[in-house]
Amino acid sequence: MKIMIRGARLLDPNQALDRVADVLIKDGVIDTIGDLSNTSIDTQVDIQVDAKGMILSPSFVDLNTCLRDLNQIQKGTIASETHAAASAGFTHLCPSPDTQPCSDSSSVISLIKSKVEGAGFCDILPVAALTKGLKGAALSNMESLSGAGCMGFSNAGYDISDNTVLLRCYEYAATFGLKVLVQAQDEKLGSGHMHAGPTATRMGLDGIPVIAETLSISRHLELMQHTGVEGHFNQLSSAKGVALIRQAKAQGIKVTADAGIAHLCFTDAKIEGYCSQYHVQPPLREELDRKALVAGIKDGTIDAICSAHQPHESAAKCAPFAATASGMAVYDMLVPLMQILVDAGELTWMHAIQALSTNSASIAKHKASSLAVGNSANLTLIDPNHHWILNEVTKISQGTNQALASQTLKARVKLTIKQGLISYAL
Amino acid sequence: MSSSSNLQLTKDGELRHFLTPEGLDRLMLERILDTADSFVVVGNQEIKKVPLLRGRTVVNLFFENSTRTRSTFELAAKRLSADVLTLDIKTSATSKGESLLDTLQNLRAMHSDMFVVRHSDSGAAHFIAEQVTPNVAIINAGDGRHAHPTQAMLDMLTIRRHKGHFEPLSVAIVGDISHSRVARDQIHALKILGCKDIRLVGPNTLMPQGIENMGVSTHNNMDSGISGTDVIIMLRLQTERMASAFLPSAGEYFRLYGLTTARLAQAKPDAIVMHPGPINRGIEIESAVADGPQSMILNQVGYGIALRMAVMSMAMSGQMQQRQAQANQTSSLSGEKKA
Amino acid sequence: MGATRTPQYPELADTPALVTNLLDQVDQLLTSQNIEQPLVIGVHTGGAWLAKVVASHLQVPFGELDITFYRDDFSKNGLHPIVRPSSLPFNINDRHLLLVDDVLMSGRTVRAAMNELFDFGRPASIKLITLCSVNQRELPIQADACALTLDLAPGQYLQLQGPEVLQLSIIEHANHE
Repeated sequence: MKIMIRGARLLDPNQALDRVADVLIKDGVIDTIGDLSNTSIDTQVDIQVDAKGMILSPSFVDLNTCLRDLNQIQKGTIASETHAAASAGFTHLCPSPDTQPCSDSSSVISLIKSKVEGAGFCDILPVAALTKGLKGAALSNMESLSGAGCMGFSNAGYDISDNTVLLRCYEYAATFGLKVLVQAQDEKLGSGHMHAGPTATRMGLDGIPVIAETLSISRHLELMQHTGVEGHFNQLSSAKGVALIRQAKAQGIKVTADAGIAHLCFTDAKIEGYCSQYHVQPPLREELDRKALVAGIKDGTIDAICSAHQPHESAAKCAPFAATASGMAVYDMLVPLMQILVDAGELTWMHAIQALSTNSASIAKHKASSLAVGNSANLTLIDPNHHWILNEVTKISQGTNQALASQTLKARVKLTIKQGLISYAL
Repeated sequence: MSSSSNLQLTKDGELRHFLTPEGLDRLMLERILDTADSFVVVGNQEIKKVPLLRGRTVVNLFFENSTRTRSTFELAAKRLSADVLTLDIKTSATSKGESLLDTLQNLRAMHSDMFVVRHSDSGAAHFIAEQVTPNVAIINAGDGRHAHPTQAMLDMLTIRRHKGHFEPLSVAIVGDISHSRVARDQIHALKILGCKDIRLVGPNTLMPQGIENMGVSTHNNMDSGISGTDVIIMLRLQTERMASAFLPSAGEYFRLYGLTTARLAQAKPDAIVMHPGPINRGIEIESAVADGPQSMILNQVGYGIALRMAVMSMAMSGQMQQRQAQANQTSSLSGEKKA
Repeated sequence: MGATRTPQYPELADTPALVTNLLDQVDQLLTSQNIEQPLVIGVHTGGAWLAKVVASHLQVPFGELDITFYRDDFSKNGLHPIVRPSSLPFNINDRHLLLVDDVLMSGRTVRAAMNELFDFGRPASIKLITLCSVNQRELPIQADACALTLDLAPGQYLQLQGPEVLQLSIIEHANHE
């Protein structure tokens, strides 16, 4: 298989690469980079793409996503959601362990893996449950699960309130050099439905205060520092949370963090009118928080951007706000949302790729793809000027909870290449 | 600002749902009060009934118990000559797996004209209005801790009938602001009607975050909070607040925030005292005050029926006009076809 | 909606004369029917102005009726945007009532007013007093005293202006019931 991509702007933060060139992919690897306009290989390539004005980068790695399936096929299947992920430029996914049943055994992990492989859109680097049944009481078989290919361990959205258990989880994980991932939110303080602030007060919805996140981050940081475990924070939501991570990094604690794309783009003001599509966990906060998250991406305090993709069927969102399920189906909107940030001058595509690809790959302990000759071809080609309408026909995720449904969006993935093969083409 | 306001009005700016005073203009709130004034007269007639909603079906949908509110809405609908069906749904139907949406669709199929909705979730009435628009008028009879617009407006009616204009008034709202759906709507309504000095009084545990953004001042001290006020609105304190660590005890609460005769002397001599009921004597308010000459508590109940009649007839009117407009549109369309 | 006066009915110009005529008729009616101390009730808005005149002439109390809640066109036109409270500062049970309206046209207002009156009590009798009757009745209702009867062209309506100086005039609505 030979693929020729002509005239794209190549972006690779790994090697500070930013130039326009042609790229030839042959037998799964990047064969040539340069001006190939005079080469007479045109006749021999299987696929040729005119990519003028488009962006070619290493493919994306998602540190937090839900693929549903198993007992949740009404929300999405592994086939539909990995397809949607490929359409957002991802080749590697780290699905969250809160599957049904939860990912606390090698059998569930291997079932998910085989389904993902069968679908063929992406590869997975699963995150397994930190405790059995995500119940926060007994340790999961971490070492065996690691052997089954799990990249790390998390209790997903289930807070472990017992510090003894949490301490042992981290001591055990540290013993074998395993990574733990944390969604930092205090369970009791986090029992509300949106950010605690003037909007929640006015709308009469139970609020989740910022301290629900900061107390939890501080507690986890203490335990990470004490045990030496390698820790990663998923989906930061607040300015104060970002500040805590910045401070921890300055102190030399081995810690990384990501933010969901929705939290970089939206605030709690979107919930005005009880719009359940913006009901997410952790909650969307205020503009100063959103700005701090963007600044965190820029200065590297926040290493990565994740999708936090959570597809739902329409009934899950069709109820009074507090009774609706939290989560947003993000894949179909991810690249357009990124483009909004770029167009607003808040981030550059270089920042975006660093956060979606380079850094997330290294956190997932996956050899980062690089736009260099001889490397395996894991690539994403984005047309930043493509205007399209997100609707039933154009969306790929089975989820109906796209906050931007029926809007005209700008930017779209043109091509995703996984190990030299096309996993998605527009 | 609020999308509720768009939802509540027809294209011509007439009321078609009543979900919250937020987003409505002063003219509309005054029209509600004017209409309610006329219904107060109907309540003094020998036959306390007008034929306005004859042949219309009003369904009281109570997903949460509230005998008082339910009975005043029932009486209001009956005095408007509507057919009234009251459904105490609580959570039984939904716990059997029937979603709120399914319940609504069943009711809509019965050709109801108006739903009066009480629900424990904030935004429930808003949700229902979104789902059943355009053909059923929704009256919010209390949703979670968000809104209870008819209660707030009957309080406005009480204030206006006893104090006249809102501009010069100082109004204190005392107690559990955090959990009160009435307080939020009172604040919105008072602001829209021109009241400039609105004070919230209570301990920090009962004061919701960012409430100052609604244009009110907050006070922890009762005496200074009600000092010089024209209107004191006492909120009901649910006893479960003690169990869930908001307050230490009813006794301490009464000592700090209970309205006693001595405290009432801090307010203006002609200040009126209001309470949405049912009152907890000796917890929020001393009996001597509740039954005293400055208390409006029983007047409020009477005004409540008139206010609800006003809102129900106005919202039904908006729906009627909307249906008429739709019918005209359909007939002009079919007329075009013929031509 | 533009209102234009038409000069084709010169009787309208001298509204005070019509009022005097009406008061004479009222006196005769009360004498012939042996009615003493009637209660005068006017229908908002013009009827109430006229009722005030009638009541002060007879030196009896008067009340005002807003028939909004009793109209028969709610389904069609909705609630009238301005509703005023009805005010009957007396008990109407077993009393003789003079129901006053400025213009009697379809008869629907009077129908609504009578329904409303019966919700206040059971009067001994009701007499209908109107300044001007337009021959467009839709209900079997006739005035007991009336100063003027007119035929109007389609789209023309009579309106009483007041309250200081009462003046009848014709207005034309292009699009109205």
